[in-house]
Amino acid sequence: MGGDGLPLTMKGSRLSGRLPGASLLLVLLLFYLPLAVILSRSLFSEGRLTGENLIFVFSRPLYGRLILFTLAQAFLSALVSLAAALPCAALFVHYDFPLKKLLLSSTTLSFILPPILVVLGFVIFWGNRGTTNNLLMSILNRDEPPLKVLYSFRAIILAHAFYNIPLALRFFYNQWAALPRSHYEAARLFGASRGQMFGRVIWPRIAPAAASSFLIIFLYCFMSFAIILVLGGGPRYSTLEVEIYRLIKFNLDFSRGSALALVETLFCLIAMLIYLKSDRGEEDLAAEELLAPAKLTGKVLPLFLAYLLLSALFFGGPMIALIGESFRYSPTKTGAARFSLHWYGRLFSPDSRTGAEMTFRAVRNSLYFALWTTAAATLTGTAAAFLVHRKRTVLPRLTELLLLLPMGISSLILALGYLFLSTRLNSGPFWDDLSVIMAHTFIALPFVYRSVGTALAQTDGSLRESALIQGAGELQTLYYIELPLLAKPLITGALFAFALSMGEINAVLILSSPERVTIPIAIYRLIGSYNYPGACAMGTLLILLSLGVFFIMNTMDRGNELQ
Amino acid sequence: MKRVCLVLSLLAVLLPLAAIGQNEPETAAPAELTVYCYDSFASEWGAGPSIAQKFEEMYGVKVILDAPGDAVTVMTKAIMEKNDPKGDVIIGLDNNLLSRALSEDILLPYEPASLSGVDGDLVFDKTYHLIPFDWGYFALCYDTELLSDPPASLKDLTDPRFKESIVLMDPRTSTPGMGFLLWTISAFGEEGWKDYWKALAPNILTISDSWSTGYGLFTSGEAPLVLSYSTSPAYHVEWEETTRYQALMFDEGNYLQIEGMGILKGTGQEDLARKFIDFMLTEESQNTLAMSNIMFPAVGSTPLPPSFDYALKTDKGLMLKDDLIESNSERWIQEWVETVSR
Repeated sequence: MGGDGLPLTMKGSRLSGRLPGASLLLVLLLFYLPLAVILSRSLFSEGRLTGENLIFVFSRPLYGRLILFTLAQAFLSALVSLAAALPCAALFVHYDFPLKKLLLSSTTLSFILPPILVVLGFVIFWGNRGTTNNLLMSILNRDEPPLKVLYSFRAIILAHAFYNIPLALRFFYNQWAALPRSHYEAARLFGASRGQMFGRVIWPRIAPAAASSFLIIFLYCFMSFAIILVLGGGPRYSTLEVEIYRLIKFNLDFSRGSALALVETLFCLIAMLIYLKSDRGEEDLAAEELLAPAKLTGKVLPLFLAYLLLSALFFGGPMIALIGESFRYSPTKTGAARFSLHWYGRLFSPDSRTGAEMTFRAVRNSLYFALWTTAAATLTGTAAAFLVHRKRTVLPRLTELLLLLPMGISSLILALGYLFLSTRLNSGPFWDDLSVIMAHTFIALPFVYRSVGTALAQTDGSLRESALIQGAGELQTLYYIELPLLAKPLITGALFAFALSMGEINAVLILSSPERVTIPIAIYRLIGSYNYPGACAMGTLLILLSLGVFFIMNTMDRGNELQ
Repeated sequence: MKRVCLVLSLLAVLLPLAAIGQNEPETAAPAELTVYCYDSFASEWGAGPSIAQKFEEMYGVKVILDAPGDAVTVMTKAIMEKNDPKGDVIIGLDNNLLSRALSEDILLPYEPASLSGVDGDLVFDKTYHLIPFDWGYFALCYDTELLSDPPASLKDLTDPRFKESIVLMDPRTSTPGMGFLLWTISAFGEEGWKDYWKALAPNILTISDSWSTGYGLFTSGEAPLVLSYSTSPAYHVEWEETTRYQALMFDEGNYLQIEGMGILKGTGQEDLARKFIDFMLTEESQNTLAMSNIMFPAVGSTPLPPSFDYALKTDKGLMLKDDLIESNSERWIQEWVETVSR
């Protein structure tokens, strides 16, 4: 906080600045109202207040085991993802190579794919009859698949790492790349070894990013269930979320389902409290000269290529398998599959129901929700980060907690909460769309907030203050000084918001009007009518479309780097 | 950085434009009939749109297909809205959901005249709140390229030669999954079903969250056996011209699924809703249902395409009483989880 000892006018603006903080709490009410409506059902039974639903949850040994397993796998997944992302981040920070930008933009790609396609991609690539095993079987001349990767605890961690390493990489990169050159030079001057350099200079800088991404990954894996069930090999491994899903969705047992959801929320809350306690602001590092990434040279090149090949196999494998599947078609009953655009031809055929018209409608609807969500989440998240980190809100710690909590709420519960509300309001199509966008915005809000907040915590605002003192207006300062410093984390946040909305399905299905088919919904519908290759083609479309948008968003940052 | 702001402001201008054309204005609104149905029925590839279109042409009304998810989600929505219903007709509640639908009191009874063409055994609701429109058996399907000696019974399914060969679905999250659990209970009784699952466990490759995922593993060649419907092979014959995937009818019998439809209580259009129910049972609609829903049509006289020769039937259709399911399913699922998670 650099506000003390400033001219009176500054203090005045700080006081009036409590108002936006209060309005932020009002915005958050839009999220907590539907949530409270649905969670409060756990405390009531036939109209009277009761604790019996919570007692039910805690008296079941099964639920105890579920909670333990849920925590353990989430912890391990987060740990593995972070450990794997760190060397990758080092590479991205220190070297320039072709496609770096594109690779960075594709880091959020795994979030847009519906779990069912990720599972299918994994199976096509790693499965018993998958690409790798077929290859190994023909090389080793064996009949049995030699590689048993799937249907084990290992597979769960592997799939979660697949989802989350890119996220950790993105967070690490943002922080690491912003480390000023002077710090490296100072360390070198004192003769620091590589290890010391990392421990004393780099790690303190990227620790907040590590904490942020650990929390996000932990919570994400905490909520995961389709992947755990299928790739883990059935109910031997299942999480709390499966039970919530079953109780609420299949048994319509809102009381017990909400009780479990409440317990889940409690665990998320604890995770966040631990995280917030460890999260302390860093010194001001902004606006200093950065380390210029080196070109890849002879010595590092083979190492780099090996690493690239390995990660391409790990990340690209399932995705490429998925894309490959969309180009396979056997035109005759017995003939082998060959390369064909057959499935794309069907998606873009003139048929008004299943062809191009439907496809374009799905694209338009997806973009409609995703762009609005991106705009809303980026604006709200950034505003929230400013308010909290510039201490312009009442109860900053609580506000921060309230901002992060949506991460620990599944979209199914949130969507049902809004449905509860909308059945009480006399709502129209406008509300239907709005509630979807609101639900998506709240799901994305923590990502934007963390991304921008982490960066903000490391600038104490002295630049801003000197600008203000020199007579720049508040808006001018924001536009010319503060926002440019935040370009990278802002874009990261926006990318996540876009990706999360693009891939979300529960809220759209439950809340929006029936004609609002999005790409993921079309994918599920294709699969529901046995058309898996068609779904892969639609998935490929989703990947390409998102990559396009990611690329545009990322080029926004370029102007900043040239300065 | 200026570019960021430029693009952001561009976005601000473009976003409202993206909304244009989303809500086509309606001219002189005809009567509207809102049909709640599950997603794959309303899907562009499903039976819903073409049936709806023909109904619209015949009666000069507008039909809205509202599909909030699978059959269970459809029912959830109807129950949550029951004080202020927004739908007129509900489609897809099956025999396992009957007792819930009745106890929640969301339906109006209606006995269509065309029900006379439906086999009496299929009329699973004698109070006529839910009217059957199509049906099928749950069945294990197998991949003829991976398996030469398929199992002949549930018991046979536990044979060690099928080690890690079966993909099932979780009864907690999937309707076929629940169907298979009920199948084993009706075949082996309260005393035997848990032992059966213990014997079956080594042969299960995985238990998926949904039919879609499980069937996807199967068609990717991941496992030679999958839980599906006895009608599934008809799809592959009809649309892919392959007989690679075959259904199996078991000695113990196969469990029945009968899909029903009903009129939502509180509809302002009971007359039109009845017409829609009637329309679903016409020969044309029944034929569409068979071809797109890949289930047996409820009206027995409906002509079927040759592909349905591969959709098998059995004399031993199994079905548990719905009040028995209602009072025991919670316990069964708990016990099932305890049994398979060992």
